[in-house]
Amino acid sequence: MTERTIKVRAMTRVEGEGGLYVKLNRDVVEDVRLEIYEPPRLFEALLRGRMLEDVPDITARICGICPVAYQMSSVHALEAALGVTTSPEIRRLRRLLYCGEWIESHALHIYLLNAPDFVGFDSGLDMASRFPAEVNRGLRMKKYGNRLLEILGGRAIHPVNVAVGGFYRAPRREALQQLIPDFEWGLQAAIETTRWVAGFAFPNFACDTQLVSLSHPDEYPMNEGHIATTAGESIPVGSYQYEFEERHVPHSTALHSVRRQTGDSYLVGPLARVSLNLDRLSPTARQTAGEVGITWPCFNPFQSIVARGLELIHAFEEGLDILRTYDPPRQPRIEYTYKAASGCAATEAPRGTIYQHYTIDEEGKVVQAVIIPPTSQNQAQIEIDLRAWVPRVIHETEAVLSRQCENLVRCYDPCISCSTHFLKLRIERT
Amino acid sequence: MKPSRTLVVGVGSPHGDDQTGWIIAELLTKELESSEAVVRRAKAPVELFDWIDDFERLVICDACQGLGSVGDVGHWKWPAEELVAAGWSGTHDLPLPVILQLADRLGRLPPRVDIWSIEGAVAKPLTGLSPELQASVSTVVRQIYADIVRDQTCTSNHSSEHC
Repeated sequence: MTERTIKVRAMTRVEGEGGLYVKLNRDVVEDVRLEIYEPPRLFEALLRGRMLEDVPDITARICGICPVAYQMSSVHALEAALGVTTSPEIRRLRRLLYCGEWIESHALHIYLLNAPDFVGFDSGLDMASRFPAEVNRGLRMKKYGNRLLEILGGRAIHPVNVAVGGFYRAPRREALQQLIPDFEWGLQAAIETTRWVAGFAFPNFACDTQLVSLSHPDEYPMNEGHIATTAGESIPVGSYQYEFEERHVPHSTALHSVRRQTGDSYLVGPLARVSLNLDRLSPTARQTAGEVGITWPCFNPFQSIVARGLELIHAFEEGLDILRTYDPPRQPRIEYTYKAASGCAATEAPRGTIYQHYTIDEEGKVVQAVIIPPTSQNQAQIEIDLRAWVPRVIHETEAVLSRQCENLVRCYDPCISCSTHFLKLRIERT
Repeated sequence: MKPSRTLVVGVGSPHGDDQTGWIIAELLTKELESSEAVVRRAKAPVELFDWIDDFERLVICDACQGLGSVGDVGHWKWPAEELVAAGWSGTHDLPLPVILQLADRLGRLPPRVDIWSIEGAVAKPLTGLSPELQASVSTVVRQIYADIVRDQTCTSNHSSEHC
């Protein structure tokens, strides 16, 4: 047999709908396509003509897993346009909101989506019989992340309390402080999680790419900072569209992001964030990062699960700090006046950097909106990684080869619905 | 004997007939106000894990497709092989039967689980509930309410043998 086509028509444990096609000619990978066929969702066009106050609630609808990052990116971009500066208290509450989202998303991905790949199970369901305590631990952490989102955001999925200028209502101190015992448990659970996943057998594989994430001099990046790369760049968010560009590819309804000057792909997400911001992790996360046997920066996408664990520790630890010291802001929302202006912002969703840019008119209506999700930014890199990874597993059976490809894709925690935007894999051998 | 603690969860979204679970939950919240039952709305079945511990009974309401004609009502007692074999789909590949199986393997599934479902037609954004589903929703609400009240009356009267 000289030619092989392997097709995984319905890749599981990813969010959204798409397919993966791999064509092999003997031992040479001729083609790899991450085929995203989920229809475009046209959010950018949907926002045009809307009042800017509607934007956070609409952008939250882009994703049920990471609504906070979408709505907060839009809020920051609109505030930049309006010249709104929020108070330190509002800023801390916003970081707390991110902690909640990172916890619920990372716990779900580690325990039910990605860990089964490393311990030899087809699903979280199958893994639960062998690792019930671990799966329960993950579900309990997710529950606490969701609970925080409910209290602070009004509800766990598609929060409704986020406003341009701050929050519609600041939560009561007692409401947040009741979470402290749960977060104390969560911090220990996150440490155990990270040690557990760090013990998995990872392939010796490194992608030749740039890692890209927000970076902030004083804190681990969530919703502010400049764009840092492992090439040593420090790019103001306002220059994002000069440095990065989205391109159409025939096989995907989602755009591919590349570096504008070189056309090179890059990687966003927890692996990039930890690699570029190691010294700004919370003390326990930083200490654990030094114990897990990984050299940072790390270019092995399979070890993203460890980075996700470290961020779980960080989110619980920073969340605890905010919960313990929380005083409701006297003014939960800063007032503003409409003006014709443009503004942009980048924030860190659980699965990577989101960039948004808005132009508004003097009546507060959206004239133009640009939304660049993390999965769009990772798609080109996923295809390049697969080209490098498939030759390593090319002699495996179709079933094993398909599974190995799916595993690699899942390490990116792709959110295809966000980027269009589920995955089906086809591998052709010729 | 204490009245049995029942959790009712309506699974759905704001879109068209997918609202069915949420509407049933909303109606039951009012009906069951003075009972021991707790009613919740979920967007995804995985949210069940946030609430199911310490309940003796779980009642799930959801819209479905493939059951039959629009408005048809289905009622299953878990474990229900028919549901597992149906291959329900859901976000992150964690559809309702998978979540119920997972809860069972983790020892967290309440001893009694009922699943109610109504066949929907459209689940498009900005659309309401199809007229064919209105009567079915009322039927399901009445049956769940009567079932829970009967259950609680039986357990509080120590007369479950008659129930």
